[in-house]
Formats: sequence, C-alpha cells, structure tokens
Amino acid sequence: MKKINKNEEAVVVIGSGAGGGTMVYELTKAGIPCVCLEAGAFIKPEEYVNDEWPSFSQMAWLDKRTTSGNWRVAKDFPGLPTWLVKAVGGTTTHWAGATPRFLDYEFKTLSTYGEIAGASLLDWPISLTDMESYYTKAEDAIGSTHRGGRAPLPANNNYKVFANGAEKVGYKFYATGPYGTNAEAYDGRPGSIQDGFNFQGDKNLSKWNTAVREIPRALETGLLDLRPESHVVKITHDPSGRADAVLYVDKDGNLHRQAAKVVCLAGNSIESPRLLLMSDSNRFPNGLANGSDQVGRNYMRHMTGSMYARFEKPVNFYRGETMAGFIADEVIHDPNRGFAGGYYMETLALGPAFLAAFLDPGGYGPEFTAIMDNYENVAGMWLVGEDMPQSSNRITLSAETDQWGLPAPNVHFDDHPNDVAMREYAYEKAEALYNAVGALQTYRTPPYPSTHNLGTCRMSANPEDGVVDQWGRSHEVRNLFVSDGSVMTTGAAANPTLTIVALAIRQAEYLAGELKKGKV
Amino acid sequence: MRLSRRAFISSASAFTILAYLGVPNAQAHMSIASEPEDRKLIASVVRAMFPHDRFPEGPYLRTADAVIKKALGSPASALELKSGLIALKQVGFDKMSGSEALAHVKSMEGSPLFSLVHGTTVTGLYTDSEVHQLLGYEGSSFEQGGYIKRGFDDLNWLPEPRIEEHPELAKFLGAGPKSYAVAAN
Repeated sequence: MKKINKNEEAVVVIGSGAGGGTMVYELTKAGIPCVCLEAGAFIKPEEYVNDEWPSFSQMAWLDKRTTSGNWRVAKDFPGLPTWLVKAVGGTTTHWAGATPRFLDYEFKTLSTYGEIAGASLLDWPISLTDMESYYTKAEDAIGSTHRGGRAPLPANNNYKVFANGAEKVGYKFYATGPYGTNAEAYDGRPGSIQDGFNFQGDKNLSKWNTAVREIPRALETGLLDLRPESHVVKITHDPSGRADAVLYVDKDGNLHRQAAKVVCLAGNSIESPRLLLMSDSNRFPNGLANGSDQVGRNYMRHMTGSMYARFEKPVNFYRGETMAGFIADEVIHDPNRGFAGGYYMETLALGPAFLAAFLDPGGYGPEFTAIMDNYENVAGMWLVGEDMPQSSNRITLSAETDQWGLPAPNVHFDDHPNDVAMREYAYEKAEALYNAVGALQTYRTPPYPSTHNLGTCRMSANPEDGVVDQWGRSHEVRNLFVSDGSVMTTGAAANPTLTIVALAIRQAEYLAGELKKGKV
Repeated sequence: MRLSRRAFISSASAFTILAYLGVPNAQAHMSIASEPEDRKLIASVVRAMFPHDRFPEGPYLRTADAVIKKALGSPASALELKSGLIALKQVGFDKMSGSEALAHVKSMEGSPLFSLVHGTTVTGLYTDSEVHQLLGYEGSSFEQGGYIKRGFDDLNWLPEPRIEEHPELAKFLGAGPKSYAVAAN
C-alpha cells in the first residue's frame, strides 16, 4: 500500500462508504494519489457474522449521539438515531441493495410541488439529464439487476406474497429489482446464494459494497493510502481560508495531522456536518463552510414505516435476498392523495431477534406475540418515500460528549404533516395489498433508526441557500468537497445509495479535471 | 436511575435495604439469582408479557436469568428488581390467570421492573436458540450454501409472479407529474 507523508499536501478523502469509497476508486483510477481516513476498522467479508445482534455489535456506528424532536425514533431509540456502519465500506456494508434512480421532477420539487408550509423545498442545481450517464456508470459499478442487460433475481417467498398482492390490488410496476446484488456472476463476484443476511454484510460477496469492490481496486492501483480507525475531528485552514490539513484520532486516542490540498468529506449526513461545525475558527465562527448557516440543516431521513402481515400458511420470509422486491406504482406526485411526493414499497425481512426489537418498540402482549409466534407465516415490506426538508430539522453539537471528549451530534427531527399523511396513506395501501392475499393480521411498524440520512450540506445554485455547488464543492471553501448524501437538496422517494455513487463518480471526474488544470 | 455506590451507601434508609440485599456483597448477589422462586416469578412476568403457549419453561427461565444478570449490574437496579419482586409476591402474581397477569403487567408500565423485564426480553427471549427452533427460524445460512437450495422459493400457495419489470415502467416513471405541476417561476 502507498504511504503518503503526513506533511505532503494530499487529496484527503474522509470516509470510505458509498461516497468516499467511490471517490478514492475514481480518483486513483485517474492517477491521483489519495489518503482515505476511515473511522472504522477494515472488517473483511470472512469476519461478517450471520447473526443479527452480534453483527450489529460488530459494525454499527455506536458512538454517542443524542436526539430531539417529535419523531418516534427519539422516543424508541433516543441514543441510536441512525443505523449506520462504522467500518471500511461504511454503510454499504449494511445496505440492502435497492437501486432506483431519482425521477426528473424529484430534482425540481419546489417548481413541481410549489411552496409547502414549513418545508424548505428547493430545486437542485442539476437535473436528471445531467445525471443520466452517471446513473448508468453507477448501476454498472454496483451491478444493478434489471439494468445493463443484467438478469433479474428470482422470486423469493416474501416476494411471492408481495407481488401477488400487488397484482390483486391493481399495481403494475412490481419486480425483483433493480437491486445491487448479483443474480448471476458479474464483475468478478458470484451470483446470490440467497443467504438472507444483506444487513450483516454479504459473506458471499454477491452484494456490492465498496469494501469488496472500490477499496480493494483502489489499493491495487498503488495510489491509495488507506488508514482505518482514523477518526477525523477537525479540518483546519490557512490564512486565506483554504483547507490545509485534517486532524484525526487513531484507535489509541493519539492525534495526527495530515496536510491536504483537497478535502473530500464523506462521513454521512450526521458526521459530515458535525465535522464542519467542529471545524470552527476565528475566521469561520459558525463552522467551516457555514457562512450560509445551512450546515446541518434540512436533515432528511425519508418517510418510512413497515408493514408485517401474518398468513395461514408458511412464508419463511427470512430466506433469500432481504429487499429484492419493488413496487413503483405509488411513486407519483398526486396531491389528490393528500400529500406531495411519492413512495416505494419494498420487501423486507428480519430475523426473530430484530423483528422483536423493531416490530413495535415498547409493545408486548398477545397481538405482538401472535406475529412472533407465527414467524414462519409472516411477510413484510418497507415503505420509503420522500420527506420534506425542514430548516429546523438539523444536526447540531450536543452538550454531551463522545469517547474522545468531543461534542456528540444531536439529531433533531420533527415529522412534517406531509410525512405523516404519506405514512398513513402508505400503511393503508400496504394493508390492502396483504389483505388481498389473505392476511390474518397486519401490523404497522414505526420507523427504525434512520438508514437513509440526507441533506445537511445541501447543494444549491445560490450560496445563501445551501453549502455546496452543483459539483458538491463548498461555496465558501473552494478546495473542500462534500461527497456523500449530505449534498442532496431534496431526498426523492428512491433509496439513496445509487444516487450517492452517481454523484461521487461525477464529482471525481470534475475534481480530476480541475486538479489537472491546476484550478483547485 | 443510577446511583453511585457512595451515594447509595450514604443514604440511611437505603442502608437498611442494603443490609437486606447484602448489596454490593457478591455472596448476596448470588442469593437473588439462586432463589428458585424469584427466577420462576420473573419468568412468569416474561410469559405474561410475551405469551407463547407452545414455549416450554426453558426459554422463559433463561430470559429470567438475563434479567437477574442485568439487574445485578448496579446496586440501584438490583434494588429495583428486588423491590419489584416483593410487590409481585404481595399481590399474588404467581396465582393470577393469564389475563389477570397481563392486566397487572399493564398496570406496571413505566415502572423500573417493567422496563428491565421488557428491555431484556426483547433482546433475550427472541435470540434464544431454542426459541428460534420453535419459531422455525433457521438462522445462519452462508456455511450451508445459503437458502438457494433450501427453500428460498418454496412457497406454493400463491401463483408464481412475474419478476421482470413491467414493459411500461420507464414510460410511467418518465411521465412526470405534468398535470399537477405548478408553473415554474
């Protein structure tokens, strides 16, 4: 592995997940050496565990975090607002694999939906047309099924219930993808063996994950200096206001400095704004790149909910790919439904340990155990849709501290009335679907700790409306880039990983060009 | 609530209870865990909360052990457990029918004992390997070649559905909300 001197002004990428992992691969492929600082350890696929809680303990981001706001997660999981991974590969280790693209109008929601009270809607400075070729590259990198001539995954048992229910209620747009796990061997990795542990890392390597594709390939170029267990705690700047170094803490608590000519920040929508807020200085008293006061604001986490249903006969929904089932019929903007924006329905299965923990936090009694007792006969789906950006939903620095004595992030989130209306509507539609194929009981499961964390450093045409420009480049600190889902101006209905990867490929291409022109 | 050992011991009223429990003396810790009726009583609370007629006593008793272990983590929680058990004995919880026991558990919501038992059960009872067998969950699969040859698609009470996308999907997703859109600018 390449060793880059700590005094050498390097291209420094913070984080190695969908955004950071893609950045280091694309940059090193273009001949640009990079230092990648990852807070977590390099957990190898042979170390992944097919057991829910032990795997959670192995890879979840469990550093101190606090919560506030009226969302139910703050009540059910006050110390665990998100369900993210702290490891090389970031949350791509944990992601299920859904890869829908954003739709054209989802890049221009203010123009399409109009002003919505309490929402800070804004059109993206880019369009679907700008993104299309990068979406194709991202799908080819991930190996999305149903795209690029790649085969669909077969129907597993949970999908059979889901798709039959969809057909019965008149939905047309159901399928087993697009999904980021190989149905057949592709790109040097094997086809799925339907082992059912997507959330725990995929020991079979069929699921795309930057720890099994981008990071090893970037290391092979000989241009990547990967430093796991290196938690960046400050970005510093020179007198002119350019970022000039990052300070990070290693696993033993020692502080290091890496000089930087460019910083690409990809720590997820909680840690990225937290780091900018912690990087305040005399020149930037509100935090680095925060002259607009937009850093940390407009935190989005998608409208989510789940529906579990009990049937007379066995389903065994835990066998096979966790989320290889989609219904797109509700991904429309039709205000006649009582809300703006749309949502996907996606199959979802949990083992008994996680189902008990998440089915109805705080719940118990015979209705609860009727689902658990009939575990073999249960089917499940996730509902995921666009939530409204709100200026007051934000990441701030808490008075409580993390393991290094640094301010923990506080995650404040209030549901917008649009989110609540969409969730209620989606629950009813999900119940109708399962009832159409004979459900004996349905159970409305509230949101889990957030896996989709968006906004907080949003992209805007005007510097006063956001944090970064159309390339993810800070309006204020021109050698600072944000390379993760933080840049999303609005969240669309789609699962975000594909878009994060596509944006990172696009940003890396731009950055490589700017570096070659000497313009960074 | 967490009490430091010093704060706990300095409280005079707590001192009497401390003497009774013997906390934090390790031998007395054992006396809570080793009293069979306490273990059974905790197991009966778990069963009232999470009733599964077909589950034998084993998983419930192991969950009770986990409750005791967690309670012994601090003098304060050990005290909460012991106090809760005394209260349950006083109301004759062990003689209650299933529905009476459930109603009583409901009346305990918000109490330290309720939180202790509920929290431990959700992560304890449903991770028990005997429970997984009873529920028909086969768990770890990679070492057995996944489920691809072990029933991932064996559901036969519904027709085989289509797995490909509908031919009109691209048109549908590309159509946009034109009829609803407000004029830009």
